[in-house]
Amino acid sequence: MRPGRNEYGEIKIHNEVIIAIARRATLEVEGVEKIASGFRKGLFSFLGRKKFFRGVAVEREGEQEVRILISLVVKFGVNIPEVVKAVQENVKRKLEEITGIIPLGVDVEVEKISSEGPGEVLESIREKSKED
Amino acid sequence: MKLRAKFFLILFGALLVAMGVVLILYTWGVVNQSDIQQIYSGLEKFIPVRILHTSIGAIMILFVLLSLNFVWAGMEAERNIAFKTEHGEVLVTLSAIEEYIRRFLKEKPDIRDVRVKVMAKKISRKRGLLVGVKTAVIPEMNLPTLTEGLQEEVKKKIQEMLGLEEPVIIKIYISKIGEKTKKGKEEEEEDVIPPFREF
Repeated sequence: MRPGRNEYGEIKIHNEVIIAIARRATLEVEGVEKIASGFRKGLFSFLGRKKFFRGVAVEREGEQEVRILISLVVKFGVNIPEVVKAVQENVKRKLEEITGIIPLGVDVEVEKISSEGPGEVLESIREKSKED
Repeated sequence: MKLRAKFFLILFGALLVAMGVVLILYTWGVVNQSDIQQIYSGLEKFIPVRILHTSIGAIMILFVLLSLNFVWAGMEAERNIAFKTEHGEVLVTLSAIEEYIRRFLKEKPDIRDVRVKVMAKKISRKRGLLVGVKTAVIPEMNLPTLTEGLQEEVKKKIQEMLGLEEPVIIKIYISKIGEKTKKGKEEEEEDVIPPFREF
């Protein structure tokens, strides 16, 4: 069921809910270390569109039309376009599954490379393959 | 830039220009104090002077903040490389690329004290990257071979990392010939087999 009016009343989904879903969907993707703080953007955000940017933000262009903005830290050694594409697809899919909202776009900013060394990344991959 | 922001910038700009013109005219005696007082008394009929001054002060503060915001946004844009995918826009900060190259080069035993600076630049009419690497090398290295190898590897790594075929120029600056790295010494020490090890 999509947000909006139906025969029983009105459904509205708060931005915080969309942010929480997008945050979880982003962290599920292999290669993403964490969501960036987005502090730099927050400095003058009160004058711009990206209000209260804390790594994930939602821009509304209508009840159904939203654009998601995500700032993230990726692991060292990953292929950034692949990770970003996976993030965009996962966020879109999860949002549609849970809220019925199909975002107009998922904009991603790779702000940093994680402090985890390549050796540790290899180790985690090895451990994961052992578990599988 | 949004239409509303443009409107405010033009308005604030016009206000500042008007104030500047009045100040210059006043300095050169074209406008005197009584003229300004007349304007004030005329304005006082519509709006109290205190409110007028507060409004002008608030407008000036807003103007400064808006200008700072635009300068900040411009600086941010220069520190990013952007590309579009079917799902939206992707921005990669140049500091992330710098960190990636720095850590990749740190693993190399032949070089040390690596500093990396990446800039977005137009290279043959296309947006590309200019990478500057400043490093010290260990002695007995053939510098042309080493630098050429580094250039090739860094270029390959950037294109692998970003998945882009954008032009990349790599400038390598050898700052000094340093001593052998600690890593190298340790490896040498490990190679020496102590006597009676088997027993």
